[in-house]
Amino acid sequence: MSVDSIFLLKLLTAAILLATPLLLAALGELVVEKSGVLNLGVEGMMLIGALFGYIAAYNLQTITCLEELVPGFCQKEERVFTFADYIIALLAAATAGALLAAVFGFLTQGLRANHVAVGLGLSILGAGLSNSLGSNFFGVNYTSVQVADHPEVFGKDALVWFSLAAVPTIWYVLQRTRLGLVIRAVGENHDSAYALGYRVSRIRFYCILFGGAMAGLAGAFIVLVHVDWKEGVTVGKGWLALALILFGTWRPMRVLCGAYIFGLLWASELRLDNLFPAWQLEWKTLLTTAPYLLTIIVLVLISRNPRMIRQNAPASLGKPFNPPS
Amino acid sequence: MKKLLLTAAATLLIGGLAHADKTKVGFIYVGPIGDLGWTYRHDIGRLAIEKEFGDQVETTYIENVPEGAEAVKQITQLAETGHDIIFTTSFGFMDPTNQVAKQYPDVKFEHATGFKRESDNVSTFSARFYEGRVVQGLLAAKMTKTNKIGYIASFPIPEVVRGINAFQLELAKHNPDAKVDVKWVFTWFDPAKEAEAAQAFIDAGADIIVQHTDSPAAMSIAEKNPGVYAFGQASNMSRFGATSHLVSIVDNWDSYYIDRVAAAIDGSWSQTDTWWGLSKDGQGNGVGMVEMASYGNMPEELIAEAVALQESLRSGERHSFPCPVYKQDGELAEDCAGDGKQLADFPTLVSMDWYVQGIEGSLPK
Repeated sequence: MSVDSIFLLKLLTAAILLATPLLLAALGELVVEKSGVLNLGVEGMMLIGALFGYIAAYNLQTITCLEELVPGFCQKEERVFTFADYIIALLAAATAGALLAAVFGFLTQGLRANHVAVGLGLSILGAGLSNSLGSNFFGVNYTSVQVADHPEVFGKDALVWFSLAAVPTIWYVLQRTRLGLVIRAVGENHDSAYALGYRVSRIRFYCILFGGAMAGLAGAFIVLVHVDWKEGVTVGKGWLALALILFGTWRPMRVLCGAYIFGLLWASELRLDNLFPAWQLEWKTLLTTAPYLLTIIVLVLISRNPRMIRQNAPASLGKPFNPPS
Repeated sequence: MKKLLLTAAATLLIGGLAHADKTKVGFIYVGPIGDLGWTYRHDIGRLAIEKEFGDQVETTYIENVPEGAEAVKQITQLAETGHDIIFTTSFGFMDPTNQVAKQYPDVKFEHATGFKRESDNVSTFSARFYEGRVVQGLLAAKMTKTNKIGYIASFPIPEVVRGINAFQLELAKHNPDAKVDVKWVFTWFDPAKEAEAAQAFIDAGADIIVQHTDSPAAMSIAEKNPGVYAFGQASNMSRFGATSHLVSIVDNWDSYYIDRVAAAIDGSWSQTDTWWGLSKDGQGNGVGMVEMASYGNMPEELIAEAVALQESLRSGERHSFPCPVYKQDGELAEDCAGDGKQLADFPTLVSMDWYVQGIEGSLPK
């Protein structure tokens, strides 16, 4: 077996590309769930974030014509997409994700609707809305809608660093700060938190907005760093992010590990011919299902250990809060 | 989103009841129209029907229908709401289409790329995309520098296998040193996975990417890697590969769709099995279902050679699978025994489930 360091480096690069959107979306949803809210609309928020991030990037890039054949028809053009443009596009994506999350927040926190039903609705809404807005914006036949590459930071995308930095930050905020304590209190027992004088619905609403913004960034990563915008481009990554939180038992470090294990498994599946040329195809395709199988196995294992669940799962998860009047 | 569309469709249908004399044409799509590939081209066909027949017809479509039980529900939905002719446009809709067709004998069903016609109201149609693969085989043979070619394959169904084999036969003819590596991704549409498969090929030294999946993601990846070329699939993908796009195989369903809807309107519709290539009859007559679009990023002489090959395939002068054809293990294909000239449509090509010589690895079952 000849596995050289260049091959491993490329494998890791591919794994990072696949893992980062999962990590971003899962970290956002982790905070949401820690506050006792189950938002199943991650997929929809990712799609909306992806679309608006892409629209913003498309409009922000500067296109200079290098060779004009006849006036108005450019033979050769140069597209420049600066780092500042990239940050603005990411902000647009985060805002779009947060706005869609606000709809969820209003329905579940304002009108006390069922979390699961509204979350599912949000996924469907996000997918449909992004498709119809996308084809309105770009046209069904969108010609030359392309965003140029943006500058990288230390050889990697800025969002990759951001997602990695977010892991300890979120851990620190949740475990070591007053704000984190309040969020966790609301998620563990909303009645007690309310009795202590915390505004349960408002705190949850802010967490939902944060989750939406992170999902928006996750979507933007897919379309700005990996592939261009296409309808339904996330293909279930949002659902996988939800599974990832269970896999990581609501702990940021474990979610990080989970995201990179998932990413590595996918990247390996497509490169196994180089790793193990003799392997049967059936074994290789089994790797595609590995993330899902692993989640099921981990779920079975942790559900056999009630202490682990009690320690990590927010006790009020998914329960609508009705303030005592 | 499907549900949203369905509601929209239902509203349209209720509105449509007032004009009961219109012929209603329904479409079931496996992906989104915005895939800019396979489903996009079927929707162009739907629009061609609207343009041709104007007020005489009314069209409906449902996107993103999963293959399997869900498809039965959606096809039934269209049959139930008064559609006269329903096009189901993916191989995986084969059994659902036949199942629903038995219950609605008055509705005409048109299933793409399948081979089952269990009742009289089911027709099948497909395109000889492999004729385009022959041209791609020639181009890949001449354009590769590393002699490594990556082929992104979706599912191991005859349509995809025919493409791989036609490609390999022509490739080996012009460049025996070039090797095709096939990766099965088991999806028609997953841009991130298609892109990653392309990247994995490029990392392993491939400089030509061939795809039989639906999105232009692989083309975008080729474009990001200088010196790598790629072929477009299903629709013209040249705009995603300004410096890497060699040629696209474009599906053209317009002419078939118009023929079939015209037959449904005038009552002459009957069960058929249609298989058009670059031309309607394989002899160079009529507009077929396969087009080659936007040759580029190669020397002029090579374009001329490719166009000449395309023309000989269109006129029937050349067959895509001329004898002798050897299977992977070196055995001569049955059709080529004796004085066989080429592989036969039935049963060899329609049910092709073996690799030709030169392709390594096993075909998943």
